[in-house]
Amino acid sequence: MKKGIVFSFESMIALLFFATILFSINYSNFDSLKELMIVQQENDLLKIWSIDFPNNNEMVVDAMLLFENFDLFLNENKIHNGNHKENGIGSEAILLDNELVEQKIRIVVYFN
Amino acid sequence: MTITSKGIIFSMDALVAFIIVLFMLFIFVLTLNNQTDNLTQNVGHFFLEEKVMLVADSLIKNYNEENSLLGACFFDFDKKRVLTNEINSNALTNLKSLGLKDFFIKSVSYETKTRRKKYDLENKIGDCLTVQRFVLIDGEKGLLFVEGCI
Repeated sequence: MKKGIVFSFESMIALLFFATILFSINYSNFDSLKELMIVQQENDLLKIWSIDFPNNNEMVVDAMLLFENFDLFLNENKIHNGNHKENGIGSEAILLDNELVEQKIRIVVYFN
Repeated sequence: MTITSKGIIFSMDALVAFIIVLFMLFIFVLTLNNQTDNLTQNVGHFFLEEKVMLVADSLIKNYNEENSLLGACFFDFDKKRVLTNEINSNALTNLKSLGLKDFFIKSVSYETKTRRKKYDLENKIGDCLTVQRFVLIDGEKGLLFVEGCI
């Protein structure tokens, strides 16, 4: 028999157990109210737009004050394109424009 | 491990197992410590976030004559309705501290295309967070910032 280190079955189990624990350490994610904050801000936009209905450019400018990465839809037509990420929160409303015509607005905000 | 007349001899197996147990204990304590720290930070930050968001939401959704920190909106007396998200800048001169021990609002400010103003409520130092909301200030679109601290 060659000289060297021979592990017994018990030490192999211990090593496997050790490796399992090393890989299963779960660092908890930072809990926050970010999602609620985004929903509130989306609703702020929709609320203000319901008071004074803006044109497409104004909508994008308003939304850019609050969000960096978002999609904006007006009657299912995309008027601003964001970079899709894993997490997204959307809000939708049907508003009356200045000619009292129904306009469907949807905003989807993406975040990490 | 073998006990002989000359003393104790450790086997390689026992040594490996012993080192692994020590490492596991070390990692367990380290993880526990990290988790406890994270939890403490999370609870503190969560508390701060919750309170600042609550005050900011109250400010832009309510009308309060006594303390406009709890509501600075216009009020339509004919319709008996609070005009939510429509801030009266004059009401912001009546911002009063909440007088809580573990939380305070440091400042409230707003920014529109033409105006920018900040109202300082407290001069204390703490761990602070600013919440921004989109509002109409005297009919002009802008951002309202509420800075709260613990």
